Amino acid sequence: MSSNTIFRVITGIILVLLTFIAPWWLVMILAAGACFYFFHYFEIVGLGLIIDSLYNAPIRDLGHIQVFCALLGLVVLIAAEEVRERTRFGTR
Amino acid sequence: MTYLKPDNRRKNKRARFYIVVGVCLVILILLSVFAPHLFSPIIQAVDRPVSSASSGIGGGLADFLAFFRTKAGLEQENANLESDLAADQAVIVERDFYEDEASTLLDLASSSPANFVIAPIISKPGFSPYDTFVIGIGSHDDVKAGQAVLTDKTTVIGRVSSAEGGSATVILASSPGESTSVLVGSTSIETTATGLGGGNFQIKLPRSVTVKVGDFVSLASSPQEMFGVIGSVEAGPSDSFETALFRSPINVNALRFVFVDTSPL
Repeated sequence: MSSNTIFRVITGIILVLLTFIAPWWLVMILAAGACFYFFHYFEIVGLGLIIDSLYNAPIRDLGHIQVFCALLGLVVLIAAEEVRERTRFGTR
Repeated sequence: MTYLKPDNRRKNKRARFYIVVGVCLVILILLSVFAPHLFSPIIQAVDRPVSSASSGIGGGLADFLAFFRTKAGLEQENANLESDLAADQAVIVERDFYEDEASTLLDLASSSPANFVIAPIISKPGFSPYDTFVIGIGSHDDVKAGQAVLTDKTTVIGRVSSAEGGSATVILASSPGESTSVLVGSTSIETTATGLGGGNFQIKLPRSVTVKVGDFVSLASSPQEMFGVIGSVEAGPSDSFETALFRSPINVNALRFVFVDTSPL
């Protein structure tokens, strides 16, 4: 297992722990950073899904969408991939 | 042997990436529509020990982040707190009065306190964009969606959104877009309070109705239950309605336990 994979796994574990003890926006910001650093960081969708599973409720202002964080993660992932594509940012 | 050109390989990778993104999107939409709480029992079961451990260590991340607040920020917060304190003193006196009255009324109405179940707060509000929090009792304790959640025997702060086996998600009355029927002021005008998030509410009233800062707000369904105190009233010269803002006197982040009214809906 390469050092980059080990770093990726450790980052994932830390972020999963943070979903339970830190505000959602902090987790999403750190995960967004990971999106730019790691290649195809689909873990961000899983992290969003964990936050959603913990707290979700049909809120009118969020369009009654109950997977808001997971969708946000997907948007961040696409944005990060597009930026990486154009700037050669992060690892591959 | 035939090799793909580097450019084609990159295009294929991108195509694969967007196919996976599309599959994720479809799965998320299906989850949101048909099974939004599919993973909730597992995740909330994991949350209980992790959150307990983190609060046991020392208040979690909030204490850590407080270290980085600036001096100017603290001075500003101190000034705000001092100005709030004077208003809060009056609110506390009023609240004590109504609390006594409400408990007397509850006794008179023979509303059994046995319906109130104490629930520990597992995850505090502010940790999610939904303005919700998780409590440590669930369907095993007769907790059902729609039941009222109170901070004491009189002050309602929200309702149960969904209940799993040993935990439940509580949606705050102040969640963005949540509507609650309330009575305002001594004239008991009934109107709808709309949540703005973070314990704040907004109500719109005709200008002919006199509402002033400090007026008492209670729930229309149970007028003896205090809900908030008017903090500001705004109206433009040409507006036919005035907007009153109020907030719940309860800081949910400071609570460790809440009551759930498990009486039949």
